Amino acid sequence: MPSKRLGRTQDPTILVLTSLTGGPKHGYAIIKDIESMTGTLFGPGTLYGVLVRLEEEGLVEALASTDRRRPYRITGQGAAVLTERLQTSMKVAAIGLRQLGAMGST
Amino acid sequence: MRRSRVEIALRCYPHWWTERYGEEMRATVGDLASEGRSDTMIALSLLRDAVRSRVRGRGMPQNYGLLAARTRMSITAATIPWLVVAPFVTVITGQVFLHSNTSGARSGVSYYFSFFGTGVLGTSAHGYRHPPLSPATQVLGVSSQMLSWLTLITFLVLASGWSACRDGVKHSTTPKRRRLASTSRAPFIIVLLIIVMKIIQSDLSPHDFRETKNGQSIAIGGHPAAAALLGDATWTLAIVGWILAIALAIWIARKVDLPPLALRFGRSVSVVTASLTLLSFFAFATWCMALVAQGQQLPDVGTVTASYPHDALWFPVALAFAIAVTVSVLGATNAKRSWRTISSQRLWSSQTN
Repeated sequence: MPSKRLGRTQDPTILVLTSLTGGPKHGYAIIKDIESMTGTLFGPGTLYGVLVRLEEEGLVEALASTDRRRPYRITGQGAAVLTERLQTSMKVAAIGLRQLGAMGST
Repeated sequence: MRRSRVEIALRCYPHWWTERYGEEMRATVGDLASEGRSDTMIALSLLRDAVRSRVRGRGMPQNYGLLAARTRMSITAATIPWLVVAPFVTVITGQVFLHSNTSGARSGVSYYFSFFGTGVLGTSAHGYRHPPLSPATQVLGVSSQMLSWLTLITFLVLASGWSACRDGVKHSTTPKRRRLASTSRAPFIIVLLIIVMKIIQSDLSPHDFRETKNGQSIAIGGHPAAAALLGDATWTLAIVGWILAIALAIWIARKVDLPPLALRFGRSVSVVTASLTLLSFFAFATWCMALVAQGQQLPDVGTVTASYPHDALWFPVALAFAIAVTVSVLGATNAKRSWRTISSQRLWSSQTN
């Protein structure tokens, strides 16, 4: 039986930044995007907790809004941080998959 | 009814957060609700983030007014829990009776219980004796003594903090500050009154007890009825003073713009109080464990055990104490953090300019 805890290893910060690489989005659009990417249901509190932190760290920025929905976009610094994190994840994934393949062949 | 749950959760966010993110959050919540997402789940998610925003203050604008208000509230959060819990802890651990299962010491008579040995008051013919205590009873004695000392030290620390706070009120820009400074003198006056009343009460209390032929004790001398009345009045005054001090502290934290020096001192007081509250909690936890251990041990012949009239309340008070310690430590951490931001950026000078 797969461990439920594995599902929690998806970092909300990475998910939000990844969603914003597809262009500026407002809160609801980010939630729907993450849901379609990973199947994870984000609560509005969780999303804004992450957005506030990312905005404070300068990784995303709020754009001017025409209505109540304010869009956010990823900054250059945010893109750099995300690239680094994804490359590390890819490296770990590649090693893990290679070793799993080796285990399967023996 | 269901809608109001989300509304209540949204109102739990701090004011600055609602100003900045409130509208867009409402739009997002509206979109989620219209697609059929459970209101309860939305409200729980909001509530968790609201508490986090209040505790961490993440995304808060870095201006003196907001940070000073946050420092004041954090100082209050660090100090009030002790004020709330301390009377209950004192009532539970303060009054002890030692019992012996031999005829050498009388059950139900107050004995002197200290770090350095336990004087048991037997009959007047025997005078003071030092009977053996079980290990659990020794731990009970040491932990309750520790609690008494920690309570006294915390009280003195808070009194010095209150004094600095009064000074801060006098030098603040708050309207009616003189009246408020006079009102904030009330807890000191009440403490002095309680001490005076206690002295008078001890003077009015019976000076001696005499045993009758049928084994009953009768009081000799003094004015027992007046002493009892004064005792009730002291308790009433203590409760009024206690509630007044808490209410005043919260009111000052919310309304009075204390000067930076008072904030800095308040930060130090909050850190010391939180540390003392944590130590007191450890002492109380030890006391609770010793109480349970003493209840489970078989009484040895000749050993003395301790009992406390209100010890049945140890569990709810321990639970309340644990919550109080958590709030106090979080408050002190936030007070330290907020003050560090204010002082590192010298934000008060931007306010005076």
